[in-house]
Amino acid sequence: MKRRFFMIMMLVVFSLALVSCGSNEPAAPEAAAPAADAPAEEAAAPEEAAPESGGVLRMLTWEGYAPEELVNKFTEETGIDVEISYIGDNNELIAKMAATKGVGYDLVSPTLSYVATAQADQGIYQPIDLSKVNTDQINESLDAILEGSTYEGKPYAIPFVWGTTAMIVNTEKAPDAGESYLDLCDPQYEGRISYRSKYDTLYMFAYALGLDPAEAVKDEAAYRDVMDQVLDKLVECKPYVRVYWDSRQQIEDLLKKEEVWVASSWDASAWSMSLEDPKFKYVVPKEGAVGWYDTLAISAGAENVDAAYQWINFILAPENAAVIVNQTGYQTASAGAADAASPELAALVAESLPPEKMASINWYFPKPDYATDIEADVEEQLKAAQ
Amino acid sequence: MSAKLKKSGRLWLVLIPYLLWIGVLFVIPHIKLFGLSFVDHRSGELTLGNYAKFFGSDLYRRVFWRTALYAIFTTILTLLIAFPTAFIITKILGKKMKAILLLSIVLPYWISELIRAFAWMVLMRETGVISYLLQAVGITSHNIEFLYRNGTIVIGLVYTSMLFMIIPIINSLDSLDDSLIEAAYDLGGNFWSTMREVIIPHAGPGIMVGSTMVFMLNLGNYVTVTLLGGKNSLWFTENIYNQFIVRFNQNQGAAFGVILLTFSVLLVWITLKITKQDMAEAM
Repeated sequence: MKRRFFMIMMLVVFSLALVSCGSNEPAAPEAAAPAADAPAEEAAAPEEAAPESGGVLRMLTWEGYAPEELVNKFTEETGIDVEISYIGDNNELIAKMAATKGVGYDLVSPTLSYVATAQADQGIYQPIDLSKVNTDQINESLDAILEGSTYEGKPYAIPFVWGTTAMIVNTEKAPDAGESYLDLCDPQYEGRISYRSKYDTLYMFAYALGLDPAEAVKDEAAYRDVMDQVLDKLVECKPYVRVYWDSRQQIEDLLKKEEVWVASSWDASAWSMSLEDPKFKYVVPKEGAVGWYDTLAISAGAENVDAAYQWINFILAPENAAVIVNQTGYQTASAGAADAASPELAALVAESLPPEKMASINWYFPKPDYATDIEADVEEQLKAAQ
Repeated sequence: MSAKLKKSGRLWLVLIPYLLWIGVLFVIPHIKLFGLSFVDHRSGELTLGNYAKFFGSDLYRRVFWRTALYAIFTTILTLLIAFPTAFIITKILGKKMKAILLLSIVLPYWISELIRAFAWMVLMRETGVISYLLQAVGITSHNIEFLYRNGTIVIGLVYTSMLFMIIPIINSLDSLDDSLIEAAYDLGGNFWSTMREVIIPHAGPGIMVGSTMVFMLNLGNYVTVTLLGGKNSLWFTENIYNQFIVRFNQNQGAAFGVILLTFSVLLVWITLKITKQDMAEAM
């Protein structure tokens, strides 16, 4: 009798383990949430919960977007603990969110051009309630970002951090480079060139070839045609490339060791290199920089919506946003944060991005499904080309 | 003990950890993967399209065969280095040296594969250690880049999987009584005939287990290949990764995964048949 009971128990345990693995959607993250939170009610009546909300805020964001200094300050002010997971790529963010329909994360930082399309495909965000956002401290980009993230009449994102991608040049080794993106294909720098084998490079070369990917993306055939021309050019340039870089750390290292002289670069990375050694310069060629705008969006599966809004209002306060500007070199949507930033950095920003260069920024455009596939095709064919 | 367990019907209780392991981490994911691979990514209907896409694409087939050939080549290379090493460790060295050598082989594997790949990069990059040493000795007067070549991938893979070849071979050689080797010599055998007719047949199962593990590890490698291979690193696992992460097409990715799995299982099965070995026996 005893034996049979034991065996039945084991069977139950075994099948439970199987079941919980089979349906991997909401079960796992929910189990991890503090039971006392009663998330559903709190979301429904946030005003009442606001005074002493506490709990945990779970964020999915980019490195540098939630400096430890600010996280500690936030926890001190609000009593909310912050848990952060990092992403290296917008697609990774969407893949992680889509796996659980957003459950497990409260606040994320997708790039604007990905917000509305991801919402349409996966439904991973919830609309922004502007009445809970302190819009006074956000600069003039607010309306454009709200509009850019609108899906079925509702905005899904608040502007947060923006930056540009253009070129970094070692002015001692390659003083003449930086006039055009086509310098990334100049045989005289053979083996001293590096860029990513990703979409931002595809856009750069498209603009350099006089094409307009932002217009072409509206039609699948037109976009494929544009990207095929870009692919041909990139294959032609491949012999001159040392390596397609993957991470900021990697390209900075290659530049410092002077294994690479001319490269594509994010502005913040280039400015920090300049501050260390002025021979490195961030240059925006005549085709214009490629620009991106990262946002703050609330997960459809958020369990602590109130904390998410508190963080939004906290991080965009000028004195807090300035910490991000100084630590990472990225610009923020916080009105006045730039004034609080260090003067050396401000000088570099003003030099690299004067008003006419600001006006010529080619912003990331929203991409339909097929565009992601076409770009991935180009990346794979480029890698395979001998 | 085991007879008693069998009799009382409790043998399977002992097997529960194993069943959990194999069921939860192997059988269920693979059934799911298999199922996903026959579903269309957009419409959700049953289809063979994901497989058609592979066989219809020059690119994917080329990358696949490149990956397969490199995996086979590196496995053979690993075996050629590992077998003499294992032989020396088990049959020639004394106990103390044996322990020291074994430890020195195992020790690097305490570090993650990622870190070991970075270590290779530090050695082989243009401003790296090897380039510096060559200049210091006077062999060359300028920096040489060793990274981002096909040869770099081979070195990285051989190094990464060496342990998994050496250990099974040592295991099987250990069980070979030295007196058998002496007897072979007494009966007129020389080094090569003894090796061919006594030692290698005895080590056969170890070689098979080692080769199988190394082949599968290399075929499925991602980190070492992408880091050391640079702009030409194309490996089939990269295509699988792209399908899942870049294109969100887990159905296509699943189909690629099934193709890779089928190929490696087939190849191992054929090798077992050719060498007339039994997997159960080899393991």
